[in-house]
Amino acid sequence: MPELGLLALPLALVVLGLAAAGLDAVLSGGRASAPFGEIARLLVQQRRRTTRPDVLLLRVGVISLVAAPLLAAVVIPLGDAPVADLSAGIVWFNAMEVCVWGALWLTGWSVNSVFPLVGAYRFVAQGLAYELPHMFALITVALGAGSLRMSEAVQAQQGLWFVVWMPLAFLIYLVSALAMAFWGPMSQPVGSDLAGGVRAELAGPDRLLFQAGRYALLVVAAGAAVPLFLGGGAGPVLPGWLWALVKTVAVLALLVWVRHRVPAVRMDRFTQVSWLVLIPLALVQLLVVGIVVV
Amino acid sequence: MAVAFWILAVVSVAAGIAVFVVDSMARATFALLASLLAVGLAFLLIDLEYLGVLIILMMVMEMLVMAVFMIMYMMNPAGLMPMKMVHNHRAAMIISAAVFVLLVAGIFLTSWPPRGGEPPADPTHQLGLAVMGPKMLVMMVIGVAILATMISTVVLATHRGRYARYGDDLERKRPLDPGEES
Amino acid sequence: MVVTGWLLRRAARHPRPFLVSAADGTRARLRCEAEIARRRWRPALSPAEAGLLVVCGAPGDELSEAVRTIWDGLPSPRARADLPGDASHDLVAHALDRAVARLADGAAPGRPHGGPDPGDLPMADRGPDRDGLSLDRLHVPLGPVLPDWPSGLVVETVLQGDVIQEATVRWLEDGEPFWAEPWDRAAAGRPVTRGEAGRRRAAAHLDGLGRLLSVAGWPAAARSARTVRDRLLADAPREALTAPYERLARQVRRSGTLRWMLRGVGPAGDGDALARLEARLTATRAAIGSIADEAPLDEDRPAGNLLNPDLLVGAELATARLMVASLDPGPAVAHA
Repeated sequence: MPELGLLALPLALVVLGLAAAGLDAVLSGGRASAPFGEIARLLVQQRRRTTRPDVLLLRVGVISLVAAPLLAAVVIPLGDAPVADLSAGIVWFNAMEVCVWGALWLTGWSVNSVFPLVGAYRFVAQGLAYELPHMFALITVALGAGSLRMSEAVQAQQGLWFVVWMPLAFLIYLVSALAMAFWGPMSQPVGSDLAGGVRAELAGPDRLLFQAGRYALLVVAAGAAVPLFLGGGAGPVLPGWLWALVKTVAVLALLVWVRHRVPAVRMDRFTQVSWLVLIPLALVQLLVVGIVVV
Repeated sequence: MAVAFWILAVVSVAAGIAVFVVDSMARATFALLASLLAVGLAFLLIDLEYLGVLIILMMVMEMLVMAVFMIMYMMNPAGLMPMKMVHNHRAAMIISAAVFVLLVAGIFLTSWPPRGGEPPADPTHQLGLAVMGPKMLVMMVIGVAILATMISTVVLATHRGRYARYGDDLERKRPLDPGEES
Repeated sequence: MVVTGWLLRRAARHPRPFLVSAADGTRARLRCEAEIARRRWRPALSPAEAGLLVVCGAPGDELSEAVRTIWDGLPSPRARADLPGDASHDLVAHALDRAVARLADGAAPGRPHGGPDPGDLPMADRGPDRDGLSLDRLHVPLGPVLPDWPSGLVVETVLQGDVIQEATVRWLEDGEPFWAEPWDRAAAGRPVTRGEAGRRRAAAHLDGLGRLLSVAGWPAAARSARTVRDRLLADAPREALTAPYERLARQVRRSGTLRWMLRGVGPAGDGDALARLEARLTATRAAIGSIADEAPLDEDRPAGNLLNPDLLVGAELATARLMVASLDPGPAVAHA
C-alpha cells in the first residue's frame, strides 16, 4: 500500500491543486482552463531580474515552498494508511508546514525589492499570530486520539468524528489552514495592496513553482483536516480512499469559496483576536477534551 | 544508516562553518538553520522521532524570529553591502577551534557505558514518562517561571503599555495603534 | 521549438493584462476593463505577473518614463497595446486581438531588466522609529504605476519596515476630465440632463468602490462593483441596475470583516474609511436613482477629496493603501 501511495500522492496533489485553481479561476470570473493557460505561459516566460538579488536563497525559498507541502503530505492517510506512518506524524505535519515560513521569507527577502520584503514580514507576523492556536488545535486531536500518529487519530474516530465533539478546534484549524496557505482572508502576504506581495517580482519558472507550492499547501491543509477531524476514510458503501478524497474535496472547495466571500484580514488587527480569543478558546477546547478523555 | 549519519554530520558541520564564512545575515541565518535541521534529522536516525521532528519545528520558527530581529535592525536587503559575520576575527578563530578540539577530544576520551537493556517500543511515550513522571513538579514550576520571566521581560521592555493604548483610565474602547495620537 | 510554439499559443489564450491609464485615458481604461472582463481574462497585479501592457491615453513625461521602465521590465513573451484616450469599443477589441496574435507568435524577447547599478543606489539611512529605536529607512515612491491606484498620483514615502515615516504627495497629471465631463459640458452651455450627470457620478463612485474593495483584498466584490459600473456606462436602464447594485451594497454592508478592517482607518473630517464607504454607498444609490431624471443639470459637481500627506504618516502600507482608496482623491487643482 505505501508503494501505491507514493505514486498516488503526487498525482492526487496535482489533480486537486489544478481543481482548486480551476474553481478559483471560475469564481474570479475567469475560465476553468485558466490554470492550464497560466502553466503554459509561465513555462515559456522569462525570469525577471531585479537589482542584486540573492539568487541562491531565492531558489532555496521557492523550491522549499514546493517541498514542504509534499513532505507534509506523506503522513496524511489516503484511506487507511499514509505513505509514512510516523509515530509523531502530527508533529511532522506541523513542522513541515512551519518550513513554509522559511520558504516564504526567503522568497520575499531574496529578490531585493520592497513589496516582496514587506509581504515576507507580513507572513512571519501571520505565522506568529496563527501558529499557537493551530498547535493547540493539533494537540487537542492528539489528546483525543491518545497518540501523535495520524492513523491512530483516524482509528480513534471510528465511533464519533472529532469534528463533533471538538468543533472549536476544527474551526481554529480551518482558520489556520487559510493562514498557512496564505489564502483568501489570510492572503495579506501576497496582497493586492502590495502588487502581489511576496510574489510581486516572480516570473517564469520561479512563479510557476511558487504557485504550485501554494496550491499544494492549500490541498495539504484541506487534506489533513480529514484524518484529524473528519474520520479519515470512514463512511458507508464507498471504499476508504474515495471517502477521504470526497471529504478533502469538500474542505478544499470550502476554503476556495471563502476567498470570494471574505476580504483580507490584517495582522495588526487579527493578532489581538488570535491571542485574546482563539488561544483561550483552544485552551478551553483542550480542557474539555482532556476531561472527557480522563 | 551509517552513510546517512555521516552525510548529516558533514552537512551539519559544514553548514555550521558556513555561518561564519558567508557575507550576509540571511545566508548566515539559514546556514545555521541547515546545520540544526541536519541535527534534527540525525535524531530521526536513532528512532527518536518526536525529538527529531520537534527540533526541526522549533528551529525553523526560532531562526525565522531571529532573522526578523537581525534584519529589522539592519535592513541590508540581499547582501547589498557584504558584511563579515565575525567580530575580532583572529580571537574568534582561535577560541572556536579550541572549543571544537576540546569537544571532539571529549567524545573520544570519554569511556562510554555499554548499552543496558533494549530501546523502548515507543520512545515518545517513554520520554513523556521520564519528563512528566517523577519530575512533574519541577517541570511545572520551571514552566511557570519561564512564562513569568517572558511576560515580565516584555512588560519591562515595552515602550507603550496598556495605559498608553487604552487611556489613563482604560476608557478607550479600541486601543490606539502605534503612531496614532490620542 | 514545436513544444514552445504550442505553449505560446495556449498561453496567448489566457493573457494577463496590466493597465496603465493617463488622466485623459479614463474612457479607454473603462472600455478596456469591460472588454477584459467580457473575455474572462484575469488582470495582473504586477508587471512581473503580466504579459500584456495596455497604456490608455497619452501619459505626460514622468508617467511615460515610468511606463517605459515597466515595459523594459516586462518578461517576454510580451505585447503592448497603446490606446488613445477616446478609443472606441471596436478599437479596444482590435488592439487586444492584435496583442494576442503577437503573444501567440512569441514576440521579440525583452531585455531582462537589470535595474540601476548598486553603486548608484543610496544606502539606507537611519532615523528614530515610533518605539524609540534607531532603524534603517528606505525611500520608496508609491505610484505612479500601481494597481488600484489613482492615476497620476505619486506618494514619496520614507519607510521603516512597512511603516510610513514621511510622506509627500505629488500629482503627475491633472484630474481625470472624464468624470467631470457632464458638468463641463453644462458649464459650456450645452444641454445636459441630471440623469446623465447622475449616471457618470454613480459610475465614478463604483470605480472608486472597486478600487477600495480590491485593495481590501476582496476581488470578488470588486468585480461586482466594476460589473455594475460597466453596465452604467453602457447606458443600461435604471431597472437593470438597481437590483445588482442593491445586491452589491448589501454584501458589502453585511461583511463584518470589512467593517472590522476599515474602522478607524484614516480618520479625516468626514470620519474614518468605514464612514466614507457608507457615504459612498448612499451617494451611489442616490445617483443611480436619478439616472432617469430628464431635468436640466443645474448643480455644481460635488468636490472631490484631497489627499493630506500627514494622514499617511505613521500608517502601515496596508492601512495607507486603504486610506488612499477610501478617499479616492484627485489633484487639488480646481477643475472649473
